[in-house]
Amino acid sequence: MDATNRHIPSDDELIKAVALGDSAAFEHLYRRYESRVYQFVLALLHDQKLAEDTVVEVMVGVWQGAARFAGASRLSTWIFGIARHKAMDTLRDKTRREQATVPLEQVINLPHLGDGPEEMTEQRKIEALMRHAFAKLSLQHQQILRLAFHEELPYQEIARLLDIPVNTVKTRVFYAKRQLKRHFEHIVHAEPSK
Amino acid sequence: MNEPEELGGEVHPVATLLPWYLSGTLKEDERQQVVQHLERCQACREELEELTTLRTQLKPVFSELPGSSPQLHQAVMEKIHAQEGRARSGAVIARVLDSVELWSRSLYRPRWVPTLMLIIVLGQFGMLLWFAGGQTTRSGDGVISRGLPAPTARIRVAFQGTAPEEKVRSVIMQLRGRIVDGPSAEGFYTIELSGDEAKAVEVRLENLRAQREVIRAAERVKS
Repeated sequence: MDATNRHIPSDDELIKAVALGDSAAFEHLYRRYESRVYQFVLALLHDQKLAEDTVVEVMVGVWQGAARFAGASRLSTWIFGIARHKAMDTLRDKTRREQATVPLEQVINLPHLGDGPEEMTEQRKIEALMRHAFAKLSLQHQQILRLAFHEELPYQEIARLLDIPVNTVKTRVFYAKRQLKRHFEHIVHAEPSK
Repeated sequence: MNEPEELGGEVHPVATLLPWYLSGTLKEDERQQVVQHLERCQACREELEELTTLRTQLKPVFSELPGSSPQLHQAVMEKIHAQEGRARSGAVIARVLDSVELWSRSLYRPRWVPTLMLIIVLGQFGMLLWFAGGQTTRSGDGVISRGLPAPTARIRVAFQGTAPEEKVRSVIMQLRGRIVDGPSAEGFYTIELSGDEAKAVEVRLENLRAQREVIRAAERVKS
């Protein structure tokens, strides 16, 4: 078959095939969601090993629960819901509250702002500043901005996923964005001028 | 988190919908509401502009988080294949059990079971009637006897008036029959023979007739 004409299965088609025990469909679904789920879990756990172990559990949960997915929400909302619950279980079971509060800078290998910013383009510099600002946000603010801006989930589905009222979703995104802007401006102003 | 769950009075409620206006996930009526509000609200237009910039700046933040290790894919697929194998062997057992269940259910299907049961009941009833009807016979003396009817024959015998009583008793004993009637006005006794005696009734009659000093007459009773 010509690769350009190859049918790209929708989430709905894939999950229905997975529900029937189609492991090839599952692998397709896994590749589609692996990175997103891993980063979502990593942002909650701040521990790469724990995050990977949790993703294994999430994906096995998707395989086992595919037949129960009723299609009432987007597939991504359902998968992120499983991921969130598994991540919370991991946090509780391992009692790693210390690790949960480790700054994201230690995990994502942020560039050192003081080291040769002149070598960065303006664009790269802004990106680095934004990473630092984002890492200073609370876990809840990071999570809600990821769901709204990266996963682009409707607010109703975010509310269902996080089990919070829809108005809380709206206000939390509003304040998270405001907080991010403050951190960003603070870092920009604190940066040593060259 | 200590942020208020309600917005302050200075923030337009429509402003909270702007992130989803940008991602295009609002319902049509909400989208229209936002569009109409933006036309007349400078503050919200600026908010929208800020959000657009922020969204662009956040993209690399989300996409440049460290990726998972190559072992993750392998770990997941190993678990899935292991579960798939267990599910397959479970499915074989389940299929066998299903077949047995299906077969046993067919025994209770109302389509032919009532018919079979009716045939069995009628058969048993018929056999009961056949045995009961065939085994019950009413003899001439009003006695109801059970069992398969043995062949019987009746003869009439008249004894000589001069025959001694011992001789008469001896003849009747030899016949192995029983007197069912008599003596009649002509002096005849009706004797019923059964079994082999009945089959050889003609022979018996010849023997009786030969004993002239005891037997006056011997004849078969027509049934």
